[in-house]
Amino acid sequence: MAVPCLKAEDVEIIIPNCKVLGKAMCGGQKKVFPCEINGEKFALKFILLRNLAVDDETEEVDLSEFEEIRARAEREISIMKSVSSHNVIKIGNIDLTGIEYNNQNILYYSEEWIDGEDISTILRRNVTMCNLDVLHLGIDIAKAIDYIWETNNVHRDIKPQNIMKRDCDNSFVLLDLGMAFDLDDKSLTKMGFVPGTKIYFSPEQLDWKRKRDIDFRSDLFSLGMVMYQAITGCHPFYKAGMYDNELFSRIIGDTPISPQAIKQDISKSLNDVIMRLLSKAPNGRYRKCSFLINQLQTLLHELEV
Amino acid sequence: MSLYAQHGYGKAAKIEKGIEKKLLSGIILSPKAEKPEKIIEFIQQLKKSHGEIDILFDPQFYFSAFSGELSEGKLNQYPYYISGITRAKLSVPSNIHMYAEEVIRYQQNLDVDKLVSPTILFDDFNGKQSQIAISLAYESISLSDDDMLISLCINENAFRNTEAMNEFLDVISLLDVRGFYLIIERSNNNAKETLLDVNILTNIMRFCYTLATINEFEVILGYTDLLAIPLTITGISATASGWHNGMKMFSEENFHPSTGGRRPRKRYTSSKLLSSILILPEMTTIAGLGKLSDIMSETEYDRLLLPSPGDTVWSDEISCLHNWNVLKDLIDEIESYTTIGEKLDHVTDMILMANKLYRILNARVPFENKSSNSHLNIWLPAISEFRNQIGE
Repeated sequence: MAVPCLKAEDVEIIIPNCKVLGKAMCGGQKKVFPCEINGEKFALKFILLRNLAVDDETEEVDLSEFEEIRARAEREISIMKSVSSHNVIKIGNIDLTGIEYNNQNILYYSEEWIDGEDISTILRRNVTMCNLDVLHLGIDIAKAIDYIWETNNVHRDIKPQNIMKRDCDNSFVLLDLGMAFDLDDKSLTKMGFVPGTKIYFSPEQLDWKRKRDIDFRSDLFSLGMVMYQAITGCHPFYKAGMYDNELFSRIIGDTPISPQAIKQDISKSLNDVIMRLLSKAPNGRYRKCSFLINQLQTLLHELEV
Repeated sequence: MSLYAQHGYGKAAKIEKGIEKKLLSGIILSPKAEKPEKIIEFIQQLKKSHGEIDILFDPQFYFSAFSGELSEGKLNQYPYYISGITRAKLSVPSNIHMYAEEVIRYQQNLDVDKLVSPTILFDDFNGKQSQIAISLAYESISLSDDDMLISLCINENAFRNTEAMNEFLDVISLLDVRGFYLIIERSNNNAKETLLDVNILTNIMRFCYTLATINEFEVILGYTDLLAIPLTITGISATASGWHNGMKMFSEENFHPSTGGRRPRKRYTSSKLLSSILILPEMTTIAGLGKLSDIMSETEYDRLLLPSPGDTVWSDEISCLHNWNVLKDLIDEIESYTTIGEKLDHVTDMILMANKLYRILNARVPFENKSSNSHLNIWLPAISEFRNQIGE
């Protein structure tokens, strides 16, 4: 999926009261510009809906793909509007807007700007995170999952790149609700296609027949993988160069080496929480996010004392 | 973990005595055994004299969906009870709502501590009946904010299918309720109540463990008796047993008219053998060998059997109180260990000791099948497999 062909000058033409503050970043299907509007910082996100120049050369255009992109963006905005949590990214001052610009059909909207780093950047630099940070990460993202679940949605794409640590208060915030799944709504994904980032899939995400049975416990599994990686420096199932089939079979069937066996200074209780999050069956994880949060808060208190 | 009385016909003063002797922490009432006005009176009486007792009312709705000629007892005097509900009727969502509503509303007018949802018996976690049971649970939850136990009545054979059991657990572990009242239906009411297939027992343990320990639900197991010993390990909150075989083991066959037969022979529950044995001739033979003290459970009722068990009047009431006393002592002993690993070790040791005792006695005591140690040879591998599965 291509991203829109836009430069900072283009953005300032499209939104006249906007000042682009830095280089654009590309993530997934979006081009993101840090910008200032009316003195406030935002992340301005652009999605390419349709490249009309390319379409002209094509005889038949599959419009369903564009409709799906639009529906997904609408869903993302709708969830952001309905979830009010410090741990979930918020919508900014520009709602979802569609324009035609330079032969491109583009959607754009703004999100709150977060000064900080994502977990994958932190892990690239430091390899691991300390027990205390991992506990805070677990608590904050469990809260985010809980808020999203309260709106009957599942995030489905929890991974280090989608979690940021704020500079201002060290809290963690969950980004990119573009893959979120509304249990009451129609499915936006094609039969057999499993959305999300494959190395952070839950076992039930890999079983497309159970796709509509997925609940927040699938996100808890992905959170378990992120916590495992953050504390040990290794992914519980994935090794570089591994083929999809092997990865999926390990996610479905293998019990990973316990974090404590990799790094001895991990507390047994935290080790057990992570291993429980990685239970193959959703019923082996936590039936309420609050149970996980309480357990992590108790561990945090013990560690701080 | 606590012991509850499984109420049934002929309660006399057994329950009050069991409570006074601090053997029982709760009671599961059976409307089949008591008229509505008598149930109300009994609840009021218990509330007045033993306010601390947990009182549950099992609506026995599963009975409505049993087929064939039934012995309904007093059930047809209850306003929510409908005889002979067919599968077709259970397939209609508005009917499910109506059935749940009638059962829940009836209990809301009783002075019970928790509501128990209606359910139907099923023998396949993937089957239509299990889906109806889940629908009854959802409907019940939607009707009341009160503390509720979802009742489940599951035939033992359902537990052969581990994958289907797991998927069922995925669904029910998300129910926002206080807990579950679980009944395991036995396919054969003449079977030894403690004897199950290894795979079935392992999966029942896993089922209880997932609900009680992992997901922190209150789990009350009805009609359990000595099977409570391996199941106590799983973290369940309570187990229930009564005075007749039909209250120690649940079977649909017990709800069909009796074909007659003689009164059951008197039995003695031995905490050392983890089994119940016949007073005549098994216990008297053991007494003749001078081994009586090896198998006795050290309850206050033991003295009634001394010096010669065969000459004793071992009434139904004494037999019941003794059985509850043994169950309570065994449960307390297992519960005195903190971790599940320690509990597994302790129960394994108890079984090994019982087997050792059986080996000594087997050569000279003619144990009938129900008194034998065949169940212990199932419990051991089931506990071992359960231990492997939970990584203890």
